[in-house]
Amino acid sequence: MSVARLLVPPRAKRGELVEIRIAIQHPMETGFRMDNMGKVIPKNTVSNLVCRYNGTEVFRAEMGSGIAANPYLQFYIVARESGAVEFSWIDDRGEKGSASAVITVTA
Amino acid sequence: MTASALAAEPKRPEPLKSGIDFSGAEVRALQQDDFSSPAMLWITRGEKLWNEPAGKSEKSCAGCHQDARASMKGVSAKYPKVDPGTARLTNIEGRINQCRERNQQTAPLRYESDELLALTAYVGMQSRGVPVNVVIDPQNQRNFRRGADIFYTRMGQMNLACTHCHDRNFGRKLLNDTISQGHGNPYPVYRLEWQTMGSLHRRLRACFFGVRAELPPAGSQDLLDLELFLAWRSQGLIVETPGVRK
Amino acid sequence: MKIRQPYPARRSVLKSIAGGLLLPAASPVLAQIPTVRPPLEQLVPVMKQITNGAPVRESRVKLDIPHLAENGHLVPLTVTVESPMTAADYVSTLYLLSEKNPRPIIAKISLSPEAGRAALTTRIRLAGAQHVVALAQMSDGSFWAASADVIVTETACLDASDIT
Repeated sequence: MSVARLLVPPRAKRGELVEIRIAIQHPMETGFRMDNMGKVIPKNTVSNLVCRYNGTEVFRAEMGSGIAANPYLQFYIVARESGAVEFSWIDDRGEKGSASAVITVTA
Repeated sequence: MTASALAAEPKRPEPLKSGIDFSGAEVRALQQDDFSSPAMLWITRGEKLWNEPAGKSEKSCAGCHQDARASMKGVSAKYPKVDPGTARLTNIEGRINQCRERNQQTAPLRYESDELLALTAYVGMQSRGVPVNVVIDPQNQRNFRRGADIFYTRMGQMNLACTHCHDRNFGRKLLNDTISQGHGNPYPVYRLEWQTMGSLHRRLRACFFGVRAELPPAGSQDLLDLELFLAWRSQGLIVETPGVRK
Repeated sequence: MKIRQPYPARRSVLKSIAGGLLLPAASPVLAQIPTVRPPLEQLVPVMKQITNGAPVRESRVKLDIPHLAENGHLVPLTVTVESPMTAADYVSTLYLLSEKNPRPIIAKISLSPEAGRAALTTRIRLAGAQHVVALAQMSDGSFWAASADVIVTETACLDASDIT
């Protein structure tokens, strides 16, 4: 079970700049660590994360072993219309995750 | 173990200071931000687990204890505690597993598993801001003495006791680290070095490793007794769970 | 008299290879610490690959990262780029680059004009003291960058108790 936390302001004025924050529980395995038996733990990072706002891609992050464990991203979008801010991501092992929130935009 | 055999009479450090006061700006900023603290991922998971039915009973924690925000407030500040049923000293991890076995009728969670850390942190967080308050009484007196004995006894290849760093040298530097007073009030914590959440017992084991002593297993009697002594020693400091440390 | 330097000056290296990235002067404190680390030169091949040899200019990009990181496993940073973020003029891609990590590209971030502000906050891993570079590609294809010098300290109480 993977956990994510997403922070999107529930309400915004049209044209307002809103801050989006997301945190995902993931070890971001570097591929350089070994287990207790001396066997290399394969690299496994959240390699691709996409944020769509009302269906349109607004942000994409391609991340490697240089991103800290439990990746955290904070960026902005302009509130245009009410709708969904949806995140989806995939790691090197093919495991997928998603999170979404609704933003209500007023004039 | 009797009191006279102790290397020193138990004393609290003065002035009593939480480890966060010895931490750098980045660590303090992480712990203070309830969204961006990585420890909060375990709180989110703990809250889910609290409300999830488990075992043959098909009961969730909330099924008996309702809303943890009310029922668990101040609880972890009084732990570890002697369980009246077994007459054994129990910490929050032990109490959760006891509930799982007895009431939910399911397997206990492995010490240091994400699930047990998440539930322990979630329960602990409900006491955030509450002062640590354990009472030493005839039931836990023996545990307290044993815990104190471990704290004041030299051990390992380094031949150091806990007291040598955490009473006599707190605030001073060890390489680039500032030595803290060694309190348990923020646990479980997200430790940058671990890159994950960890229990107080994991941290204590790391200290045992640091002085090159034999490592007691997590959840062992030695570490439980030491946990009680540390709780007494940090009496009055506020619970910071879920903390962040370097 | 000419003072011999252990490495080519960073400025001249980047100027000649990447086409003129002028690095901000190090802080007075850091300037006093003798540098034993390899020069920024190490990042030149990867930067050249990204820019395809196009010039990289200093300014417009701001990189906020602690000078002294408490632990290399988690170093917070914020990158901001001066840009109107309109359909005609926006930051299309943001690269975070590490001089000494085993993989130099830390992250590649794609932005759209919908971002409104070209800013990113994240947390990175750094394998030792080094330079970190934030490289921004604009919608017109131009490249802008900023670099920062980070000292990463090691922990005294290393945990090898191996509980997991």
